[in-house]
Amino acid sequence: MGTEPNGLGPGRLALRRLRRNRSALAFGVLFMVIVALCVAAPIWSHHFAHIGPTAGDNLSQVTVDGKKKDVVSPDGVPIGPTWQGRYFLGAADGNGKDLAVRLLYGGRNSLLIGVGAALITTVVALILGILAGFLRGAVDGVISRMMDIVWAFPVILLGIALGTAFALGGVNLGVLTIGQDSKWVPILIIAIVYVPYMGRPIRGQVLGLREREFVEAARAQGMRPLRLMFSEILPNLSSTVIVFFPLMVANAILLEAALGFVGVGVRPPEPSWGTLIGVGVERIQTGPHLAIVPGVMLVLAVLGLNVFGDGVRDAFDPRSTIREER
Amino acid sequence: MARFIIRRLLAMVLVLFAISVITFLIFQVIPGGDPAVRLAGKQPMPDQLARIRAQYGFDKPILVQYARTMKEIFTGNITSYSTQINVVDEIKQDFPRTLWLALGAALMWMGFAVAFGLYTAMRAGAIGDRVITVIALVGVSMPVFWIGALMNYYLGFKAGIFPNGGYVIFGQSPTDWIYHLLMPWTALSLLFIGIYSRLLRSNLLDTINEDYVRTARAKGLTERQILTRHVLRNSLIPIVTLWGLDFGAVLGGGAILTEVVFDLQGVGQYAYESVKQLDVPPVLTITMFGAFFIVVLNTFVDIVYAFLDPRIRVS
Amino acid sequence: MRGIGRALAVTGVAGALSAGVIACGSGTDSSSSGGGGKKTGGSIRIGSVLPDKYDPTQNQTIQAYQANQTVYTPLTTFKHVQGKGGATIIPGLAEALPKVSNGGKTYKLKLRSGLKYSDGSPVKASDFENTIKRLVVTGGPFSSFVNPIVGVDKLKSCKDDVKGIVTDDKTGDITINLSQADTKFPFAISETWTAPTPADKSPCKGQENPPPPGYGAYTWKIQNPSRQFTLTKNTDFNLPGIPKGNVAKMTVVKSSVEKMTQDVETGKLDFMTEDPTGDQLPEVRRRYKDRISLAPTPPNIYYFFLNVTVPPFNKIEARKAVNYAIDSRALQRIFSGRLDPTCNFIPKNVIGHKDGSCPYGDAAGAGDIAMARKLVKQSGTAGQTVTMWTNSKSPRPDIGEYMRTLLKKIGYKAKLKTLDQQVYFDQVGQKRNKAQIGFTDWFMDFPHPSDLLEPSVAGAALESSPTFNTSFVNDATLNKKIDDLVKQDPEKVADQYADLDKYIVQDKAYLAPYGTEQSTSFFSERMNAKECAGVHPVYKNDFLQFCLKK
Repeated sequence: MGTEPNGLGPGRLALRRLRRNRSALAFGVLFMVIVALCVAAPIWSHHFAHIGPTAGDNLSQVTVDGKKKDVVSPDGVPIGPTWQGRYFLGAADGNGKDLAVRLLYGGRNSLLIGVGAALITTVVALILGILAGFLRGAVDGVISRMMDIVWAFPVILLGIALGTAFALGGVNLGVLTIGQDSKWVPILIIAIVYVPYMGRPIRGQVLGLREREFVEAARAQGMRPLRLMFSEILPNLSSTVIVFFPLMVANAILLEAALGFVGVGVRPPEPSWGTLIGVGVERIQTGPHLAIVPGVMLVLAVLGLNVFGDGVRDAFDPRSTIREER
Repeated sequence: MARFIIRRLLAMVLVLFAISVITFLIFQVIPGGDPAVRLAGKQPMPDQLARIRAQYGFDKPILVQYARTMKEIFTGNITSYSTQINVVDEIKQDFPRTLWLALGAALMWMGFAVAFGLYTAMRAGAIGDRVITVIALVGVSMPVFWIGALMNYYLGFKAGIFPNGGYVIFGQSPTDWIYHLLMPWTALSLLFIGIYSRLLRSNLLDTINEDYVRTARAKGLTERQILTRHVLRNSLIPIVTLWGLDFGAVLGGGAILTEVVFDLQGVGQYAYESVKQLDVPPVLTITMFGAFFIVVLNTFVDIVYAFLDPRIRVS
Repeated sequence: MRGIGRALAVTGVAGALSAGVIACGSGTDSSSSGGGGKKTGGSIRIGSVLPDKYDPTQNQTIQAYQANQTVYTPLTTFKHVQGKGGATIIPGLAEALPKVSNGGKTYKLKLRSGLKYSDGSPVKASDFENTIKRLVVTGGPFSSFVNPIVGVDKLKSCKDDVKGIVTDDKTGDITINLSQADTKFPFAISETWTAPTPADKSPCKGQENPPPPGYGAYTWKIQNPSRQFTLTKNTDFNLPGIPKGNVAKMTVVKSSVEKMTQDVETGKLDFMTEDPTGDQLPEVRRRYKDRISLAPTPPNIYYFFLNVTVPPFNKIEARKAVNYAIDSRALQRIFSGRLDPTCNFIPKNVIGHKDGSCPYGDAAGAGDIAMARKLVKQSGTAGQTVTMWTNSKSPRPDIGEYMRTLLKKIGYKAKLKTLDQQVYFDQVGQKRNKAQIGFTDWFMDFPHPSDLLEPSVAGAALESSPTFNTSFVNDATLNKKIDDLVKQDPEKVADQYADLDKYIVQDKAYLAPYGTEQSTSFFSERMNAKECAGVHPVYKNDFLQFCLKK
């Protein structure tokens, strides 16, 4: 539209628009900082806290300002923030684990699950969306109804039911064995749940694309359907994927938190933001930070993604920034 | 058109059927899913288990069990394994709570979304737009069980501004009813305000560029008149559609954690407690009940769109 | 023939200081200072997770039992006093305690005359037989307690006759014949799941709403089975030795545990059947000292099972190592101080419990890690992978995590498996799952040691699947001793039970006990928490003793 110079591809144009959106970039950076912090968790763990994410002894003591203090009081209240290397943010639970260390390692798990689930969702949604939209007819019918089924399933209930099933023994599918404490369990649950959210718009877009001239032309030249789908249609979906991806990661992290909260996400003793919030909420009276800190960390990460993703969407969908250009 | 509608309705029934089968199967294959063991207490003797199996029909083939359960659901005779209470009665008495929660929250998020959407569209690109956008997105980024628990503790119990969870029936005291629902409404709608206001903003900006708006502007109408009379009305259509879908989703199980955190004891909480006890009859019934709302609203939207856009019917 | 262990339903756990003895004891003595006086009348509100079932033959949670013991009086019942005396059996609907003859196999009772159920129909001797039939035919959770009655095993429907029960409605005579002597039986006929209810209103299936009428100090009305019910004083109730109840009306409402704790604090509720979770308990104990008490009721034992059929705990050294290593101070913090440490298996206030020296070191002191490591090495199992099993109910994940780190410390590769609490016992009790070590607790149905020993360590318990004998112990010496002792008056063979305890924990280390959990009684300001807490070894809290301040 309007003033954009000609000759630049849509991707470049979008990038240029995104670069002008400072708040989106700032929040993108915020997210990356949190990622970096979590990736660097072992540094904090080894050099400052000197305690691992799953280690802890509730009978041990810690020296704060020259005074010895119980890590967990005899009536079970974990120590608050010491603002020193060990127990920087206090103890996380009755077993005397270090909250700061668990927060960082928990972030690794939450992010890994979020990104992993979003990747799987994207791939599956692309395959199903393209097949349904391109082949139409019976294939479309089957795929669309499958997505309807997943869509109409109450996520939390499905999660709890599957979580209970997986917790005992995991799954053995011959080639693929998923252990009970494997992170694949929440990743797959979340990935499946979100497929229709992305698969439906992709299908709709493919339905439109397959009628376009360049596809007709390729088809007239005798290009095989499979090649058509992946060399002609797929590249045209890239902007949709780019727009969707950060938002999918954000949603996946939130769903992981919910599953962790109801006790079916990451298996203990491994931490995740959701499980930390779940434990923290029970101790809100004596240690409000136990609920607030993991929550704020999660909100910041998801907010970073959401604001950034919103900026990306604006950038790829120029009409919505029309006021600005006028 | 008639064929299209019939096809969509058939598909709807098919989806509901598939959901019931899948839910039923999940609970059949779950380890420890055997309800006879839990009914029998901690240490069941084989003959005691056999009696319970015979009494509840757990010894029948799985197809027979499925058929019997579905029949019970549709005749309203289904009872919970763990409490023996009629599930349909239970849903009937819990549903108003879920409905009021969903309805109030839906109105609240729509109201705020329209206000935020209008404001940000009018000031698109300005600092106000950016700030409101971030604020709206903070809501989207918060897990409801977290913000709900914090609100419940600090505003409810500590400060005593609101009740610390619970529900009062409207007929008992309308003011108490609102009073008890205010926090749950807020917590639930926080999730949607951001999404809706962002969507409305981009729709508004789309519409502003349409020809008829230019015409209106040329006629000398004020910006405010143009915005409210022409632009807003047209921009709201897709949002109202989405609103219907989301409302169905919230009724159909999207508010489970909100109900749990605020102890509202609606259908969602009933489902939550039942699934934790692996109590198949209520879980199956509620899943069907929830899926029904979602699928019906989806189908309805599909059909309406087919009316508006004939091309869809072909595909 | 064996106990089921009453389940403390749902909710979580947290706690405070261990007291070791039953809390505050004054019972019926109202002269003690600062109590605020006992008021007769008034109505109160109780927060609860509600009974699992309302039919007395069908339920298994303490929440159900607390309420229905006020509605259904069995033939004999438990004394309504605080403390250990509450375990004493007294006559209920029967005129006197049963006359036992024929080597402990025949029980004779006689109903009091002129009693009427709350619906006005007369209490008949044959109603007792009907209750037993319903209990057995519906497979009620406690039905195995009446298995010793002759002919119960042949029962197919409620129309069949139970050979071992002879009743006479005219005289009120009830004669019960057992196939073998069982000293648990007097306790079984003192529990509400054997209480007579009118036959015409008690069909041969669960009867939830309205549940069958009974004869008790209160009558109940279930307004809404999943939300609330009320207990109203029964003015016609009059049985010698059983209190008539102080409070005129109790409304029991469903609530989440967090909310009910807050509501008892602020006075919106007067009592809660649950224990405050998370850190609510330390807070409550700090702020409302006079309104909360802790007591190890009902008697219970928390222990780790050690599966003797799979490595590494098929080696006695490995089992002893775990016993040596446990540090109950650490566990006590996990229980928020609510744990009363022990290295006995038979809990305090149960016949056969004997305090004595603990070979594994001070039960309340540090664990001996060095010794444990040595034993593990000796057993040749060091370095093996051991999975600790636990369930999701707070604080059990933390207990599991504690044991995981401990196993690591004493030389194993340790893993943790956390199952949902609803499926946990079904799974660890199945042989094919080969659970090596895991969390277990047992709450006594009544203070008879066999109620604990038969299900948890007797070989006969392995017949059931899942079994509660999660250590999979099948020791001929032990089996014979348990069988012999149950035929004798437990008070008289208390020492032999104590020897069995020593044999199980010290000689063979079949399991690793670590403590008794203390439950809480938390009341509102207007309740007389000092004199009327009704802390009871069978009912946990006896509603009949509740009263408001004057």
